[in-house]
Amino acid sequence: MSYQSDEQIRERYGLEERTITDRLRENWVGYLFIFPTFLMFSLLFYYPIVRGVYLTFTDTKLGLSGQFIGLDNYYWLLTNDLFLFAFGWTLVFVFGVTGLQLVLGGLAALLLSELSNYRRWISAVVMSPYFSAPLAGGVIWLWFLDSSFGFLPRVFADLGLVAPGFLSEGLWPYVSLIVAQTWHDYGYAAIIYAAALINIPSDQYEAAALAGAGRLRRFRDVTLPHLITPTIIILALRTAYNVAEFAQPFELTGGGPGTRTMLLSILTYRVAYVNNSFGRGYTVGMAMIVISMTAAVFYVTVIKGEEELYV
Amino acid sequence: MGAIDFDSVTKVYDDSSGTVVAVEELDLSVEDGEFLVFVGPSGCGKSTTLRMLAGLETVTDGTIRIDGEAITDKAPKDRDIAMVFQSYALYPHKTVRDNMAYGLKLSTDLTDEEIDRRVTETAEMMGIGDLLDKKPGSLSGGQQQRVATGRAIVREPAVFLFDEPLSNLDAKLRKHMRTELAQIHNELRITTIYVTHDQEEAMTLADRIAVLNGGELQQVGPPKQVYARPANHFVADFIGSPSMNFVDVTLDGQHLRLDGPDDDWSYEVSDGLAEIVADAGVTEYIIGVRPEDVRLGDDAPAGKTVEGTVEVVEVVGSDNFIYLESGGQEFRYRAPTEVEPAVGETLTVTFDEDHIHLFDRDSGEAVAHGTSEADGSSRAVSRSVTAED
Repeated sequence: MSYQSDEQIRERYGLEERTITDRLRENWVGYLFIFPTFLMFSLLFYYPIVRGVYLTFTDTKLGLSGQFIGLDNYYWLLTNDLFLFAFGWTLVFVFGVTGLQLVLGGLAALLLSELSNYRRWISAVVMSPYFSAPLAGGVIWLWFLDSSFGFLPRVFADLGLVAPGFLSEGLWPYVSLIVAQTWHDYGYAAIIYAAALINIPSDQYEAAALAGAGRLRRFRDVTLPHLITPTIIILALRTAYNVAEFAQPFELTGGGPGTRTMLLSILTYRVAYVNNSFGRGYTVGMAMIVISMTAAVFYVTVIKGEEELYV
Repeated sequence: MGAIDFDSVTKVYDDSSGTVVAVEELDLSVEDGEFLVFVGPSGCGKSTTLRMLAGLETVTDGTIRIDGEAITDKAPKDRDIAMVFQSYALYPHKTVRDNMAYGLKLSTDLTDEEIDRRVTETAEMMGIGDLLDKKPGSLSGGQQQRVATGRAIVREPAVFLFDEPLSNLDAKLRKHMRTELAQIHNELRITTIYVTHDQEEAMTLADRIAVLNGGELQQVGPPKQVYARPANHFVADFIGSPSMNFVDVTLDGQHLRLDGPDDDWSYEVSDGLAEIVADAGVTEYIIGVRPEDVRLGDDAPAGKTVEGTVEVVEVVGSDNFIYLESGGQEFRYRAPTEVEPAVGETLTVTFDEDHIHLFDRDSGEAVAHGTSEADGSSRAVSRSVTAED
């Protein structure tokens, strides 16, 4: 059949281009069905976002409507030492936690895939921190690390050692927060990796074995390439979640001692609810969105490259 | 460089789901350069046998030798074997070139230029020279099949293994690739073991066919022999399409009579055949006649004909397959195209005594092929005839 342009085909079969009103008239039942969802989404989701962005240009406080003050909040933000510190520490926290979750989750998944018995039970154990509420996780780690009544300092004492202040001294609070957060969500990475591992066809390993590849070589040449896509998915989702993480760090240190472990999420809360400055609180929130969005854009770009991996 | 010996090789799967004998005391020798096809229904142990040879399954008991050297306990990579998988098992992130070069890079000391030269050469031979820089995901099924085969060929192993390599292709391409594989084997003359459940594929490709069922070797022999002198009821049923007609009969004097309440199905045999049959000391048989050995029996002598009602007529172009109902059983008749009876019509057909296969109804072993005696047990048959070849 010879090539025909869209117009030629339309002309030949008497098709006319349809306007929006045509389509509305044809599909009005369909539009009727999605209207409630559209309405609620707009009210509960899009409107607050737009409103939030607007608030960053005002000096709104709780209970009072604010005045439009232009970019003052952003000026305040960029000249605020605590914000700059929290921004940097949030980056370290997010990428530290996400990276550790990838590695730990990957190792857990590999271990699971080697097990033949009790796999389900051990999967459940691996996943249990993820399914526990972040607040519960916070309580567990508090009972574990607290200097005055925690389990770990007690063990140190029994061994005749002096435990460092895990939540207060030197670099320890940073380490504690990252470790606790990694513990809470590494099961998420593990479950996605485990699914990917199960789906690797066993005959690819067999073909590699016949070709002369040893165990490590098979891991490098067969297993790892199949883990690239899940890695990017985990990175994208975990980065966004970890930027927004609030409950567990807030419970463990509350940003302290002083403001030394202040994360952007905690800062947002304090500026908005403790200092009662909603406009500024939203402005800090914008910085969190910037981090998540930048990471997301980066990952999406990488995924595009990844699609070419198999073509 | 590639003679294989299976010496009472047994494979038992023993796990939580039960204990199963997948392959039972398999004895088989494959000559260097031979094309041997394992054929059988699914679960017959043919793939297990292949995987034991490749080293992908452990051997429970017995020994496998290549060129006299026991390889039973060797790692797969030390066996000098290349295998083509049903799913092709190409590495999806590597280009065709890297897929093909992988084995050479890992298991030989060849320089990169030498490897590249061999890969290019093989790719040209397989007709995939222009695909070398593509990834498997962008290739069609047929092209992937060629890459998988090329990946095995380029290594120039002592033995090729094919595990149902064509079953993921459409019918036309399958036949085409079959011819190509036969040509490749003619050129390279490397010992090839090929597993399939498709008896037509087995017939067309093999130097010798090994028919397996339930983990046991039923018969080994050249395609013609397996077709013309099946060792037992199973082989007769499995080889040939449409499959052989079977009717339960008893010998009554010189008449083979259909069992059951109505005694109207009978076939008169000659003294010679009656004697052979009488010698066997059995009275209950299964008579087997291939649909292609059946013909219209209007002018045949009385007592040598079968009457049946036409139930289905399948037109396949070159022939008509006619399904008759006779004495309560289906009787298939491969007719020339001009024989095209209407459904419900009564048809009289006949077949020569030379084309009759008689099987012991208890053991299933063949007793007579035409007017000659079937020689003893199935395994003895295959061996003696192979030796003659």
